[in-house]
Amino acid sequence: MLIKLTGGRVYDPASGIDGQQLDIYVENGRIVAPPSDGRPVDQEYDLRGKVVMSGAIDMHTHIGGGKGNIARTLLPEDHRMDPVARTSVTRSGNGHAMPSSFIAGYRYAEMGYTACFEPAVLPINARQAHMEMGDTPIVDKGGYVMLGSDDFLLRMLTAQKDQKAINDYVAWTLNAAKGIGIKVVNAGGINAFKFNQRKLDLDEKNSHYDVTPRQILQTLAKAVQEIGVKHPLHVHGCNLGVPGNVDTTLDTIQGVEGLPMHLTHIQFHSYGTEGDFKFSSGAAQIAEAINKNPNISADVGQILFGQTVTASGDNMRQHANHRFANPNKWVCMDIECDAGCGVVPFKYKDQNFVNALQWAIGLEIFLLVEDPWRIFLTTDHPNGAPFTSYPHLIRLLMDKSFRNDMLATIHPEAQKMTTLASIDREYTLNEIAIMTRAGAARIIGLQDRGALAEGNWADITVYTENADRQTMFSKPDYVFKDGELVVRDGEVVKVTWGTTHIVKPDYDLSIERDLQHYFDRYLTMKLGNFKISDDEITEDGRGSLSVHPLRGVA
Amino acid sequence: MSALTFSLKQTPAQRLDLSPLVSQNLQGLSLAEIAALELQNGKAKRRVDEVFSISGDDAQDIVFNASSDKLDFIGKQLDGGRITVNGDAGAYLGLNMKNGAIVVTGNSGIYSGCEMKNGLIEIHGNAGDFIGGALPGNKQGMKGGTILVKGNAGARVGDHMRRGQILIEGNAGDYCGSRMLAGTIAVMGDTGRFLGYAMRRGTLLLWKQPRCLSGHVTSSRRLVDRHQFQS
Repeated sequence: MLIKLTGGRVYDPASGIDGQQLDIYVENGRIVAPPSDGRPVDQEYDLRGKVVMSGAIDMHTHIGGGKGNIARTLLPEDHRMDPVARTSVTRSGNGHAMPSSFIAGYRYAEMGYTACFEPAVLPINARQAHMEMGDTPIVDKGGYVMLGSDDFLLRMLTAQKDQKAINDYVAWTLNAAKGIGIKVVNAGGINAFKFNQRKLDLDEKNSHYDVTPRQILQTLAKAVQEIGVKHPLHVHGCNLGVPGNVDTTLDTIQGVEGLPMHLTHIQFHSYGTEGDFKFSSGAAQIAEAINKNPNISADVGQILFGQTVTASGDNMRQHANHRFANPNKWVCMDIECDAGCGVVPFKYKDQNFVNALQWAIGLEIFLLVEDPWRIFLTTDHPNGAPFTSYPHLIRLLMDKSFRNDMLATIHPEAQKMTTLASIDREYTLNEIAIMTRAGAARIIGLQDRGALAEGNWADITVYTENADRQTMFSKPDYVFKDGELVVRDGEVVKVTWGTTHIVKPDYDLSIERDLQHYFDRYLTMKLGNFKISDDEITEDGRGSLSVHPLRGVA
Repeated sequence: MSALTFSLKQTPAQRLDLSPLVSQNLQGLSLAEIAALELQNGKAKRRVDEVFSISGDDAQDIVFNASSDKLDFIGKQLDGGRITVNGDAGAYLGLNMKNGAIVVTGNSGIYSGCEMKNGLIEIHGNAGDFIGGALPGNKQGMKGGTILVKGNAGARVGDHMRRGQILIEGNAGDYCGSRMLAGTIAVMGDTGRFLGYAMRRGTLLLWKQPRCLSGHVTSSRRLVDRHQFQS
């Protein structure tokens, strides 16, 4: 079926289109050239006066994996208080901070998102993560596989194995767990927690393995580079949430020595120790470092006020933060030899000095980082706020007077500690399209997504222009996923199933000899069962795999 | 004025949510308007008059006749007035009740008086588990008022209870007073295992010596020397 989207104002930064009025043709799920043979169009949408972008991509959102179910179990009230009834096309579900998988898919699509990436796929739990994402409708998905606190890697580092062996292990794990990138969470710190260390600085040794976070980050960043994975090493740094961690973050940026690195939820890593409360903004320094180092990208992990739940692999920091749990209940656990998990419910309050300043720090980073291709719009869902708050966040970025009105309502001491009021920048639609589409697709390494060029998959979102950007981005007129209309007027009208994006880097099979022994000796799972086969993703008849090219490979 | 009376025509196959039928909602409504209210019944919605024959006019004095244990959420958030249940009541009797009185002549299901704030619940038969408790996931149960059970109560009486009083004339099940924060539970019959499990404060009044005390009574003074009960 040939579909024509007529006369919309198109924002497609990947193709250099900034608000020009263009027609877009879609056929067989992809964007195509205007038919030269004068064939009639089967369906036409009149988009004159509307804003057209490709489908939005959330490059860091916790939508799959064991921690979600722990949060759901811990917070029945989160689900009880937010029920969603079924419709003729959608299933019922519930949940505000950690919605059920179906509701997460619908809500993302209803905001114009067409792809979501789970940033903490523990290899040993990868099957569960993929099954949960397999139950997340409409949107595409993918995961970053978590390494860095796993005993196998730390043993390799202690034994001073060469980089080649580590590359093989990293590539093998990416294949086995079906990821598109590599994530490090508190490098080595989750492991050090098990040896009773309660903090681990960048150059502090794991007391058992004698390895520092700096070594782990350098080794993994090099591995990611050498095996050709396009997504830079995805780093959740040391000392999350600790006042003064801005220095750690700056050291981390220097420490990676020019290799590509993505610093995630950087807002939580940009705190100084100035002022009466010994808590201040390090946003200016962080933004300056990002501006200066083109190898660095970051997503913000903005906090927004209200009830949510934090779910992280960083059980060292989650354990330290458990005393702020609201409501007062929390879970920290070990994930066998792999990593950890901490779930702590949080209620961010605008009248709490620390929370209010966290809010301002996130916005400062957004506004001070100059290159929108290297800063991404996230709330680290659900850790800073549920993803449903994105339209509100977009308005904060695009509307200075709205932002300053909000600023005037937060804790007065926090207002004094932020430069936010003096920042005039307002994001443009083109910059929003870069952050949430073109830039995200590029940093993840997605082929044929995130742009409206001919040949690309037709993931398209159409908004009605509105000076109130929150309203505009809350309720797209149309969302097309792979060329099919899935959302009309902000409501799901058709449920489709997105693909799973992966990479398949090469490795030397001999790595399995060592792994075989390690699995047999230490793990509850056999090596053969650990590896996820393609069939497991596709055999339900709705999942599919999209393998993306590696760097230097056509 | 005579009591507003709902007589169950037939025991429903699926559970029936009666939360709309409380005094503050029905006050000032005509019988026809009440008859047209909708109740959730399993997956379906049913008009009140499909399920009940209705008579009387005093919304402050509601009576359910021929009631069954399929009838959930009777007196939910009741804020004054009186509800009489002739027969059994289902789950969540008087959930979040703020004031008034509920009398059940038969048995009641799980979570009777769950998170109630004030008022009186009187159950002439037996009560299910978690009476006066907190909803799953919530940290505070009953916060005031009185629950009186003339028969036996199930497990977890007063789980997370914060204030108020519960009197059981018969026996109480296991974990009576578990995770209790404050308030008073009195049991005239036997108590089960793990009495006062993870109890922080509050009072348990017992007519009979318990078979054993929980080893997990924290921060509240031990009622009796544990060794006395080891046999």
